[in-house]
Amino acid sequence: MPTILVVDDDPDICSVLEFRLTSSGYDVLVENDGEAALAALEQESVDLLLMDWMMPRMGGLEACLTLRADERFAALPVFMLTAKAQEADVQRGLAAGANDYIVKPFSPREVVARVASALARTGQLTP
Amino acid sequence: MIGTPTVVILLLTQSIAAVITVLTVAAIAVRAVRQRLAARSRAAGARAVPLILQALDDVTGDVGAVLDRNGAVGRRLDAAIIALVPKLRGADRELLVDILRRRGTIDAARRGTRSVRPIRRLRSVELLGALGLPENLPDLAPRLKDRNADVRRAAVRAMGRTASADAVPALLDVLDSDTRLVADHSLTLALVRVGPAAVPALTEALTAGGPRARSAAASVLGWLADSQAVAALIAAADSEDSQVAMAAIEALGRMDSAAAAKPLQDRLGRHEPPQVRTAAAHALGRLGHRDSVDLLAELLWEEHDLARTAAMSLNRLGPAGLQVLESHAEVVPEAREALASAYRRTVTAGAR
Repeated sequence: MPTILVVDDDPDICSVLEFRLTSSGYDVLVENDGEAALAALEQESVDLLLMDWMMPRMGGLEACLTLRADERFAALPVFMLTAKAQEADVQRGLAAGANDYIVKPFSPREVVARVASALARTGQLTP
Repeated sequence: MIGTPTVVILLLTQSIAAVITVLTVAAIAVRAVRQRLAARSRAAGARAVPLILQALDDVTGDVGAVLDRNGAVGRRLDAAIIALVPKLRGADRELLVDILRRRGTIDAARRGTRSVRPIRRLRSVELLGALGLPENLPDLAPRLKDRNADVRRAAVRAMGRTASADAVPALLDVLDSDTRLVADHSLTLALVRVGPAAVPALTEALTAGGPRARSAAASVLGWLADSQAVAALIAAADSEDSQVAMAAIEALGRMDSAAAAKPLQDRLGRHEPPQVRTAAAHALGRLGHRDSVDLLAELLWEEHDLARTAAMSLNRLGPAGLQVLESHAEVVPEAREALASAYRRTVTAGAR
């Protein structure tokens, strides 16, 4: 069963995503900042990372750049989930190595569909 | 033998000590009660979110029953849903709004907008604003002229969040009112928040209403950068009211449209007022059309403000603009300043 790591400092958003992804059959891990996410990736096997941009301690963009510089995580699908909706922000997020960019407010069901599609493309088993 | 003054002093000291003790105990008790209430509220909130999520998958559709069985968290439930709704869109958002509707929360808020108590009106308007439903506009619009300033500001934000074209006339009407009920920037931000749906009403407003509303309409159209508004903005750039004309000129500079360049270039002529020429020079820089280089180069010999704006605009027109600046740098200080700015930008970008 694929494991999704949800990283956001807003507990409401974490709860909704955890609920929607769990109901769709995924295992879900939750962290609240980029640093904790990197630490979790060292400990757990994660199939996809769903990460906010603006977070305390370490933001999603910085965490994404750090991940892409590490060959162990170079192929890990990373989705940015952020309120930064400007065209330049999207370009920056994708340039930092994100595979997909989802703007808040978001549709939890759409996120699940995108996650399933991305995992199917990488040959992961869908739940 | 103790004298009377000593007794009085002793009694006074004891009384003060007693009062201090009572006040300290009372303060500790109040703090403890507050902490307990806050902890209970947090616990109820934590129980509310899973219930809400459970209700989202309530295939029977009997959401009310799920929630009614958990009456203890009822008060927190509304607050938790209201906090969640603005973060979501799509079917889950619709379901959450429907839960509030079934619980009577939305109807209560609509009634609350007419309460005699300002705090209730404010909370009701904020709640309706968080939901952003166009159906609540008839209750929100009258609050734009509420006697309480906080309620007016909340109503402006709430109307912007509906993203409905129907919010535009009421917001523009506030701009044109005799007394300044709400700061102009709050109203223009709300109009921007309405988004593309506002374009037809704003375009129409360019030729109707007072100068403040027309200026705001032009500015917002520029920020929305919708090419459908270009023709109306070109016409507004010829307005007799200089504020309206300047706002339209600035807005044209934000349009990604070749049609905007020519009317802006026409406004650089010597017969135009200086502030209009400066606004046009600035807009041409923002527009980024290379065929404006020669016209902007001529402005480098004009008075300082205009020359400085022209130099900064040339700076944005790529190699051709930079070439003009370099050829003028020795004799035109504004060209030197713009080149220095371009150099700093290159160094900063390189450092990143």
